Amino acid sequence: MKNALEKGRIGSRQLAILIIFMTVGDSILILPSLTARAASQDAWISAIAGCLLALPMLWLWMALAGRYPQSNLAEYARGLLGKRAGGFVSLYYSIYFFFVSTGLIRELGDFFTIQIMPETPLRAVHLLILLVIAWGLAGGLEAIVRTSELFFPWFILLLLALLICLTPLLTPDNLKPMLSEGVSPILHGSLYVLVYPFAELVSLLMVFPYVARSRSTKRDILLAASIGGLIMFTVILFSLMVLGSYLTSNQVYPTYALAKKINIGSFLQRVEAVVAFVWVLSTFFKTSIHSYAFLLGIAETFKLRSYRRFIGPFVLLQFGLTYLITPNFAFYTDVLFKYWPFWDLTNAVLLPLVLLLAHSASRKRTALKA
Amino acid sequence: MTAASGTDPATDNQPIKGTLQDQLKFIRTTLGDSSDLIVREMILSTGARCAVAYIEGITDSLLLYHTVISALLDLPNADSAGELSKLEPEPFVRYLSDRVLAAGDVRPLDDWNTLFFYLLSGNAILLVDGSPTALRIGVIGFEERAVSEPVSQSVTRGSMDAFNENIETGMSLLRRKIRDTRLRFDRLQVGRVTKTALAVVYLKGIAKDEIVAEVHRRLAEIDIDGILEGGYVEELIQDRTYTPFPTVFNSERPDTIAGGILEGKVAILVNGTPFVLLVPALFVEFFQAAEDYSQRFDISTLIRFIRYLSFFITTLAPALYVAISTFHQEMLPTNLLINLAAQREGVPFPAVIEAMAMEVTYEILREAGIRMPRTVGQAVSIVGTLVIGQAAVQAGIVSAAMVIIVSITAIASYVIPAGSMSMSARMLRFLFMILAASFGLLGVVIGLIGLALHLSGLRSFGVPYMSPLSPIILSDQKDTLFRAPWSLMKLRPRLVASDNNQRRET
Amino acid sequence: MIGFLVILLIAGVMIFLTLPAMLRRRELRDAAVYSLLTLGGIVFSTFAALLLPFPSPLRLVVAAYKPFADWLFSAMGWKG
Repeated sequence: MKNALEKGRIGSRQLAILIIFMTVGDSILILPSLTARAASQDAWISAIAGCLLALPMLWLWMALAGRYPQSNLAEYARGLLGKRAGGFVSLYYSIYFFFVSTGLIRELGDFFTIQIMPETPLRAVHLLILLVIAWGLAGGLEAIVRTSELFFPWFILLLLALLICLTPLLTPDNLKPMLSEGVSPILHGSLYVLVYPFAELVSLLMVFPYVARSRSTKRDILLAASIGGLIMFTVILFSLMVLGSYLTSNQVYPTYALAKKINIGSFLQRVEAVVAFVWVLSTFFKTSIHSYAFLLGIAETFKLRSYRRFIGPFVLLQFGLTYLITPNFAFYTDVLFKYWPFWDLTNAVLLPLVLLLAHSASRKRTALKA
Repeated sequence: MTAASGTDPATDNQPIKGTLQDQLKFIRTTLGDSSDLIVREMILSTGARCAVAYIEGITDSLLLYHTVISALLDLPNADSAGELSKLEPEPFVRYLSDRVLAAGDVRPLDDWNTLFFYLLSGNAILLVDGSPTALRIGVIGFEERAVSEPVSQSVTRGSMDAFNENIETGMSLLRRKIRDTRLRFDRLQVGRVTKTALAVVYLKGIAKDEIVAEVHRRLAEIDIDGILEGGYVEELIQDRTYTPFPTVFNSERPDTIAGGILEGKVAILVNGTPFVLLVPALFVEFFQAAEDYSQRFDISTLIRFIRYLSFFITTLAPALYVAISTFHQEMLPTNLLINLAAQREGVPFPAVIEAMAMEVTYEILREAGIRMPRTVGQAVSIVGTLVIGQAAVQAGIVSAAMVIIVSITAIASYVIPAGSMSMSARMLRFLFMILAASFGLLGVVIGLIGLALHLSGLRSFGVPYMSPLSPIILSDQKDTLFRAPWSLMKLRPRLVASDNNQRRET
Repeated sequence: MIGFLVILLIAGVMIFLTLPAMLRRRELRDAAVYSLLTLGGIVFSTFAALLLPFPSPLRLVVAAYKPFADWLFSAMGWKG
């Protein structure tokens, strides 16, 4: 890797922790509602199906990254598709990463201004979050990843405690009747489980070359994705069992509503702040990696000297767009429900597939020449 | 000791030459006829003229008399054959050094720079007429504070000695604890004017060679006129200047420093201060006290948890109070909420102003308590209980809950064993209060993430500051949050010690 | 209006701190991208700060995928 923009290296366990954070990401709060809207009480089956569908996608990425262990997405896109088309693809991906992070920040902002602090202006919340993301980006990939490691035990502990506290409230009857509307709604629900926790992990293709690989890297990635999937599955299952499918699908933040229900011996109650904490954490890491991927992508596309000096313009751009990305939250959830999944799938499956095909075509060409 | 490095403009590294009278005159003028300079001129029985120069007060004059002056004046007894008077000045100096002077540390020197350095460190200088070589005789002796109990880091169980201001005493205290051939003391001196003596102490083969080399490199780069305390060195060698966190550990306890050296760390002794520096320093080490290792492991573990808890309380308690009472009242149980609201009823300020005012008041009290003469110490505590206490509440300026919050943050800050870390916590407290006042719990969480980002990016001599928490090193967890029984702690810290990290087999 | 001025001030400080150094080192491509991004940032931030109406960029995504999504949702009988 000549003239590398990123000097830091991350370990394979650190990557695994990052993947768990990113899978949980914003999904922990918005996914149950989307899935239940599509599949009603069968949403938990959708969760399993979605996780299974994610496996071939992960395989595709690892196949692609495995062909070019030393380069990131932008670098091999240019190598495979030529200077023009490759440059265009890497610019396109950068814009995509940018908008994913825009959406995530907006989700955080909307959540806090709607649910917790109605008097605080939305743009102030955006600015605060953007500043800490910029602070992380300035620290570099290594600092972000180490921070995720620092928070990881807390994250898991709080999540587990939350789920355990919910067990007395579980009503399995809420899952009946099973498969009442056939397979199609389940497939519909699985689309969201495939897309929001997993397909948006595609930004990791920008990070893979900086992972110090060991023999267990592949296993760690799969394990981390499975743990993330398991968390998503449990959260969806619990939402359905505690709130029922109607409430789950009609609330924007079912998990938050879930935590509000916790009341153990009337002394352990009002712990929904814990959910907010967990959500802020996981979304922060997802957003940071997408922002990082944007900056790195831009730097690779235009062959710049360093990505760090573009943090300032990034914050300025992002500050504007997080506010402008949607006129209201309803429009945003509508896009999330109907259109965004296909955009994600295009970038997570279709384009990587094209790149992989281009790779084998170029291999054949060189083989023929030889 | 290595030769004096920094050149004095007055002497400029010139060789010693000229007659004895010239030499003595040069010494006198260079030191400006200083009144504590004593020059004893003698004519020996061989007819040679010589002189002993020393500085009064930093030289042991009794020792000087016995080992040097009386030995020189008794020369006739040694020289029965009268051959000495035939010797040239230079061989004569060598003869004096080999046969006559009864001191332990006698070495030749031949330039002014070195001469003045040793003279001013308390050595006696012997000059012989006609010889370009002088002798320095180590008869250093001055009043020093006795090795006493540690003042700032006291324990209920453990050794009760502390370093004092003298570097040699410090070295000896370490040597008494670690009797191993691999213990190394590298002496150097830093400071253009003060020429402060420093000693780098480590165990060869257990400390990482790169870290030792890095310490030497950074010490060599120091360019400053004076080093009066270890803090100067600390600030000049730390990895990052702009951070509220200490990345160099310091202790006045020989057992703590010896423990660090045994783990593969490098200690830096600075003459003139009882506080010894230890690098690389990790975040978690600032929460470990010497006692942890002399108490039972289960008790130590429990107490460590109390310390971490205290760190969070002292950093976050006022911020959380501000956030919850301003933004998230719904999080409180109803009874508590009513209780708090009743207390705050007459309070004229918003919670954040109240908190800030009380915290600043406490900081003022604390600083006054340190600076004021001991005899008036009582006054501070009386006034303190008035401003942070019932009187303030009754005056209706603050709520009783706020007083409790301030008191607990104040007490909690003293639980952290390392003073430098509790300073950081006290500083960050205000930042978190501002964040909490403007964004509630979101502000606190974002602040925590920012803090974690900062901490994760820090390094101390190349070792990640937050290790072994991030990067997670499972084998090092036994002495991080917990303190495992000694029988289980078989390995030295992985990032600090060299590959030779078995505690048992080396 | 104050929002606009604050944004201009921040952008100005940012440019002042980084751009001259880039130009001095003849990193022209970096400087060009930097100015472009900052310009975009100023425009978008101003829209956001002054609460001016601006069409959501997501409408592009909607436009691109609407035919496909509509077809899929009706073909599969999914709730839209």
